[in-house]
Amino acid sequence: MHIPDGLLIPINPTTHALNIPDTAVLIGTWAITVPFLVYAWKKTKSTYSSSFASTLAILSALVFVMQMLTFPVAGGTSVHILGGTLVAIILGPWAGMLSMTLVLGMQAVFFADGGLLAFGANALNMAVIGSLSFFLVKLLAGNSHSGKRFFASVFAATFGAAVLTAVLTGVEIGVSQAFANSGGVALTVPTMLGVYGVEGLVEATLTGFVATGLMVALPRFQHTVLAGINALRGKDIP
Amino acid sequence: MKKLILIVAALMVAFAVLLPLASRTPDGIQELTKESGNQQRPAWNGLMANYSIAFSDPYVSTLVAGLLGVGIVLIASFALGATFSQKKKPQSANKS
Repeated sequence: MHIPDGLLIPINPTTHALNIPDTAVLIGTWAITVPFLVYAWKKTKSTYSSSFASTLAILSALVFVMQMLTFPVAGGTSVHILGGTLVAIILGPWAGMLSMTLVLGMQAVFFADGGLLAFGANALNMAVIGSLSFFLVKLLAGNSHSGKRFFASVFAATFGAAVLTAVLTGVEIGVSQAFANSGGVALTVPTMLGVYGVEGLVEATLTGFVATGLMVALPRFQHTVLAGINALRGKDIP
Repeated sequence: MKKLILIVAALMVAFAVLLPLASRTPDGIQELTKESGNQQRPAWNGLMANYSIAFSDPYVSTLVAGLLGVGIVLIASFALGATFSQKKKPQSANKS
């Protein structure tokens, strides 16, 4: 799901001309992502104390490990769990966005998993969309804090986020020069959707069980660091 | 802190156990890129490209790269956490 740097290329290496669609995707995705990240950082910085770092660290490490453990789907391809919705449900949407962005940043810098130029796109696809799906959980769940309706809300939000991530990724790479002669978005969007639709169902089921389990298992308002859980129970969104 | 070490240790053990089960087939984007045949060499290859490090055994190589990655993510999280300035824990006023 991580877009590498060699796929979206601002300058055509043979003609040295500007690749307009690629450049537009790179600049456009950075331009959407940066304001979200600045807001998320400001909000988190003023809401959480530094003792929150260990919770953030554990969730970030969990996402890193989950994204390394890929599983096969049909057609000889494999997928990994995205994790954005789960992290946002536990930490709150803005801290979740930072956690996801941090993981994606480390993957890009140290493992070249996702490009540096394409980081804006990858952060938008996985960190921003995944974390914002928190608001869909809140909207759909209403006053339901556990049980079937809560599970269904988490399921729908997680699956919706995976589908949106797949479509957006498909569009971003599909409009690029790399796919200009091989089908463009008509090839990339259905492929990404097919692969990540399956992943979305698996992730939505897992996230539904984990989130519902946490809501039931954790006593009300005892866990001050789990601000996302508290927000779903009716407190202010941190 | 003790809790943190325990959770991270459990996470690392789970990772080591589950890693051999991880799929080695390409992901959707890699597969599409192969089909288009248009990928350029990226300017930056990372320090441990493809989650591998200089060990001949692929399991050990990916395991070590993954464990280093967990360490890197933990350090970065604490660095980020150090910028959080709120003195009070969030919603501690509502603690029952």
